[in-house]
Amino acid sequence: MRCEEVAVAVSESIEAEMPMPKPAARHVDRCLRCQAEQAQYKKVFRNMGGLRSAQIDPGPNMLSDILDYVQSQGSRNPILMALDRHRVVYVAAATATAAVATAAGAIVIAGRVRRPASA
Amino acid sequence: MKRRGDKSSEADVTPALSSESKLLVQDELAQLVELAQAGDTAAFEKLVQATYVQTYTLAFRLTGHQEDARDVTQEAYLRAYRGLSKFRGESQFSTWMYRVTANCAATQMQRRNRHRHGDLREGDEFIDTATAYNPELRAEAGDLRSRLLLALDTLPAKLRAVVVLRDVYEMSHEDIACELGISTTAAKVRLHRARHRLRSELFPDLDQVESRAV
Repeated sequence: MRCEEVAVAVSESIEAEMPMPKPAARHVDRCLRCQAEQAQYKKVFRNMGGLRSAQIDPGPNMLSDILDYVQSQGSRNPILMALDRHRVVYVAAATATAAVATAAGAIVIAGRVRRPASA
Repeated sequence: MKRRGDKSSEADVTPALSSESKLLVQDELAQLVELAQAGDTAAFEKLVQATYVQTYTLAFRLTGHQEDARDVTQEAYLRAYRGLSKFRGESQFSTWMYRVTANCAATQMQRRNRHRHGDLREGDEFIDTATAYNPELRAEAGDLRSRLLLALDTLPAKLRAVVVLRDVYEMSHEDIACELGISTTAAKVRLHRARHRLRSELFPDLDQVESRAV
């Protein structure tokens, strides 16, 4: 096996629950390059885990901004909000429907007026 | 793009709670969740107060951008507020918030990509060259963690999200895939690519060594 063929297994091996397949493990046992790569992955992994313990200060007003946002948006009905987003489309569709209905009505009325009264 | 290593944010870190304190906090959070689910808005406010720094931290690590992180945090709590009745308490509230935040961040990043880089493809990169290759910043970043933060900043957002959720927040591949709207296989592929790029960025010498057959 070549180093690039075991690369994924080496990357996955840093997680305890991911045992390396035997052929890949045999390669790593005999390959200093892959052993070094595995050690480097472990260092990166340890430091990534360490990031969880460090929290980032969101700065002033974040808490009040969140609460204001939830208060202003949270009380609104999500269905009405979705309707709001499509309001333009609904208004346009309703207007078009009304226009078509008016035109159709006008044509019908005009037709009746022109038709000669039967004896 | 604002840089991850911005002194106003990354420098102001606070240590994590001890495991004993965490247990206590988790119990209190569980009680607050129950009260909030029953309609107690004061309890929900306390929940936000207890967790918003964690949520913002995750949002910042996923987006690498202060403004986006603030937007994602606000949106995450709005979704949490609306969806709290669906939270069954099978996981901790903070874990549930991580998933909600990851989902909001994915939405935010898609929106931002459409707005700024409408035609980017899967393999395209978002490299903040000013940050990644600024010699002054590099000199400041002496220790591995600082260099790791810089390296994370050079990752495309899609890769960064997966590696942060997996290797920092220990989310399962399935949960990551679900919240990011990708397949589990895609999540695993992105994770490998992200880890490989981080390792190469931090230890570039090994890439000069030729691959061999053993």
